[in-house]
Amino acid sequence: MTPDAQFPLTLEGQLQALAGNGEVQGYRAARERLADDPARPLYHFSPPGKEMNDPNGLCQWQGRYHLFYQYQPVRLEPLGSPRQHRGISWGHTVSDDLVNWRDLPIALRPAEGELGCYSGQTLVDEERVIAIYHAPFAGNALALASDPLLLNWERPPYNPAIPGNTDPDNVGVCHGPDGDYLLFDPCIWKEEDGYYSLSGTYTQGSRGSTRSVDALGVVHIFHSPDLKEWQWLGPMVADEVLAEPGEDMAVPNFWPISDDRHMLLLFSHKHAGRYYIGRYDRETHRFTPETHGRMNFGPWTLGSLHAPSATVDDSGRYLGIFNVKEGRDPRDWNDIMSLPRHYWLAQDNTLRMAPVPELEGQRFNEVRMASQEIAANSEQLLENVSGQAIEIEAVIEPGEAREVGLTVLRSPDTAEQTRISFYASLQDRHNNPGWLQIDSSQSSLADDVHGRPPEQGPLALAADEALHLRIFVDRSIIEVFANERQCLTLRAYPSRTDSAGVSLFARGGAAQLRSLNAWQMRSVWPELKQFEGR
Amino acid sequence: MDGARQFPHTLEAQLKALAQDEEVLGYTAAREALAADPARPLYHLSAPGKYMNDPNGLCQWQGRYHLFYQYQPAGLEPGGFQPQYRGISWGHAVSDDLVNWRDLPIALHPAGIEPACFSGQTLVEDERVIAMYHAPFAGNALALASDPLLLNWERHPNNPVIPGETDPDNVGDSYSPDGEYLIFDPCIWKEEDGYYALSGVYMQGSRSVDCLGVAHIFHSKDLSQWEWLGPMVADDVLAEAGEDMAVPNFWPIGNGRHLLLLYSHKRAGRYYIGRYDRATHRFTPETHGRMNYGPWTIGSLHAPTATIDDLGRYLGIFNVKEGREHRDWNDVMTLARHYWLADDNTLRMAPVPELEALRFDEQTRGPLEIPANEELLLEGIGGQAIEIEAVIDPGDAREFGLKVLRSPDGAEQTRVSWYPWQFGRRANPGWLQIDPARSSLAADVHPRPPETGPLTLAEGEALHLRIFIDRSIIEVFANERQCLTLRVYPEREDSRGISLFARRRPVQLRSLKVWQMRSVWPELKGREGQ
Repeated sequence: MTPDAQFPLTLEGQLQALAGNGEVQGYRAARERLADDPARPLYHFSPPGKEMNDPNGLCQWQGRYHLFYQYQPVRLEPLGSPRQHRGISWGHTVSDDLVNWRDLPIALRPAEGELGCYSGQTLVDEERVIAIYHAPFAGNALALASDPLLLNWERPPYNPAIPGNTDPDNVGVCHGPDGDYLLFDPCIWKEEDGYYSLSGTYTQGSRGSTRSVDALGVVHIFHSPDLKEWQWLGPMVADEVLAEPGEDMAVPNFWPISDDRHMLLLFSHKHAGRYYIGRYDRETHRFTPETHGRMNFGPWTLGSLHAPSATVDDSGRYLGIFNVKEGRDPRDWNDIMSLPRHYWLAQDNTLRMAPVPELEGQRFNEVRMASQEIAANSEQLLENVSGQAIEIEAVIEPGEAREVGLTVLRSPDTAEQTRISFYASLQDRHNNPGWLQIDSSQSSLADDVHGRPPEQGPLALAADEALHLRIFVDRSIIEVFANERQCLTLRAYPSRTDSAGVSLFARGGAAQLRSLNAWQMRSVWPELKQFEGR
Repeated sequence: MDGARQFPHTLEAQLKALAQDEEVLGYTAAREALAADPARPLYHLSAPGKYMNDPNGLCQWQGRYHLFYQYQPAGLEPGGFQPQYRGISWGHAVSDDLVNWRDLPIALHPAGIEPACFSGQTLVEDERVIAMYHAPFAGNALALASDPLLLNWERHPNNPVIPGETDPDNVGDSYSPDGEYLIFDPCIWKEEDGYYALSGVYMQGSRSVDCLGVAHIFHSKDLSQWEWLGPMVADDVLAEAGEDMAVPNFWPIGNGRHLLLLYSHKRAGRYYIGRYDRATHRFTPETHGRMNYGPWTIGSLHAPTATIDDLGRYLGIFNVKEGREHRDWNDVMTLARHYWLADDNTLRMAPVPELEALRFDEQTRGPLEIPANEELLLEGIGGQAIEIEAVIDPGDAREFGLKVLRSPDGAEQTRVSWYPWQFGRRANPGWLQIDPARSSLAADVHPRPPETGPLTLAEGEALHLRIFIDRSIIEVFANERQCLTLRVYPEREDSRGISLFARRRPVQLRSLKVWQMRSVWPELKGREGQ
């Protein structure tokens, strides 16, 4: 066990210490070594080598955004073995703007008795930041920091604050002392009478108790007046109606998203990212979901969106970041963090989403296209728009088209291309919305890329509503936001440097392109500056 | 409402009467008038014009298979469902072999207070066939027939035997007299102590949105008086919220299990396998599965009818909705599917072997390697009404499959493919897919994303595909464990090619057989082999 590092307590002193810090220098060197992997993104966060998993503890502290993440700097147990996460720590990065990230030393390493520091979240208290995480063989544990860059974390003496007994044969199963509940990924917030914490897990359902198969997803709620003594208040929410059987409620994030609604943003070990919107009763400490929705639709862990971390920042925005898994064989780094997403509710309490506007600072070399027809059954290669690290904003009237969209990361001979498209809705087909799709079938000629069917999610357009796409292509990751109501995420691995083309297409009828703006995107990583504009 | 038509009672006399029957001759003429539409299938049942919907009452009676179907002989008038349901009847077709169908006169016209005969099923007894159907503004009603071709139907004198009060603003909601349950599509079977019927419906909430699917069970000793026994099954765990249990079919499928084959007005065809307790009349599902995965009512599989035939086979037939603008006919019935259980009680399925009699002009290819990342066009082989049987070793390909109904320039093509199961990726099976994105250049075809269903192959197991292409319908059976169905509308006559493809790595085609398929419809004989 490594003792937690101690840094100076002033910002100036911290920055100075970091400049000469061996661990941080090691990360920079690791990033430089990985720079020739064309899958490394220019304007997304990816780890400085080694294994990354869930984002954790997103928060804003003293103006800066902090993001932690499940990080395995040294593999202690073979991948796939029951204790494969032994030694897992909280990696740490900081940003002034949610876009430009800087590596910091590992924030949390396993304390004595903890197999690892599993996922958890943070609470920004008045004078400190409180992190809560799951520690197999201990329970749910706390760490506290109050220095400018959150470098000096202290474990309180009353850890594990919420004790549990981990099954030695299954380190993912940690029972509360009475066996009444399971302990797993926590989050934490504060109300007038103290602190509240969740444990996102599963329980016996009406059919069975196996996670990912037939268990019932449940989130337990705990209360503490002082962080020291915690009382289990029972399930805050359980759901076997809206989600599929077997979907657990892992990695819960729970914040208000409007005056009278909360959003529970979480993850299941069956379909990955998902959410509930509903009402939280502060008297009974019960959450009543009104809506369930997905952030990932197709296969999970195949180039797909994974687990969330969320916070409400100083400007009142509900922000979420997800890790996005690899869709190829393991290399010496893995996973990319999604762009930070801002969530809010429309008047009808349905979810709205957009990438944070801070990203617009990365744009350069803007290309604007005027309104024009996309002819039926045609593909139109855009002469002035190409690149592997770009943003495209397109407004399209589907018109008579059956399917309309763009190909990106397209090689001149189309041997590689990724198809982003919209299947227009049929007004008279009850409960058949339109569908947004990313088809990665032809994305890559590389040998180690995995196959998966297209990622597709529902998107109903109102009559006369145009499709408003914001497409973020960053080498091996694609995020597609549509009309602030849907977002699809997928990894793609073009193997050719000329797989950079963009085309428009329409099938079955003509569509009208109202406008298209495209930008090259600046790299936020020094070692990848050289790849800007390619 | 007109009364039931009466035909002679011997087979010979019935056949003679039918040969001159104006209604039947009208159907023949209607089929001939539609023969120019390239979407009309050669070896599937489609309606003789006008409006068809759910198949109903599949049964085998005196050796012959009878299939009924929701039929609106007046066709669809504008204005939505509310004005269109009035007059819906049970269309009727008969077959010796589940393949060659012959139109018969409408079996059930609305009678008495019924404005329509909605979906239902049949029970074959020694001396008669009992049909049970839902009649809005009446309840669930019975009709009985015992003649050779089931032409002469008599309504039960106590109709509606299970009365219901229909919401005038919503003909889909009929309430029991005391408001305890809803009455909708029934099916019927017999046990030692009498008859049992289901009403497949929903409770608590809005259909297709947040309701709970439920099938109520009723008992009668004499068909006349029926007692509600409560819900036989309700499920808000396995299905999605809002899925009702419409059009239930409930028969034993072996291994001590029943298969409840039904339909939801949210995701269409689906099923439960489980145990039925004859003492408590409760069904406990062990498995839920889907027959349709993507959007419903857009070129997709719809509602089932099922029976156990004289050979003991659990047979199911579904209608498949249109995926283009409405014409003067609609929907195609699937091939008859045989369902059974594997030793582990998972569902197995295959098209009935009777279909093999339609094959001609067999061509074979392979074994051969399908190269990576290029398309291998098969020379001198193709068609728009064919069966393809392909056995392919997955190897290390990322995706592989066939393109069918492919025009020489590739402008029209339908992609049938499989994405492998990823070792170590828990709960990620392999995926079978039909992608219609490029199936048609026609302007009136509706958009929809690919139809994709799970299919995991064991280590070393080859993908065994049986692909039935019949102009505007594709049915893909894979390894007797999965079947995907989709409508497609190639517009060009030369969209008949077949190619093979593999992405990332080559795969080994063990064998490929392609047969042209005979038309079962006289007016389409001339289209065979095209």
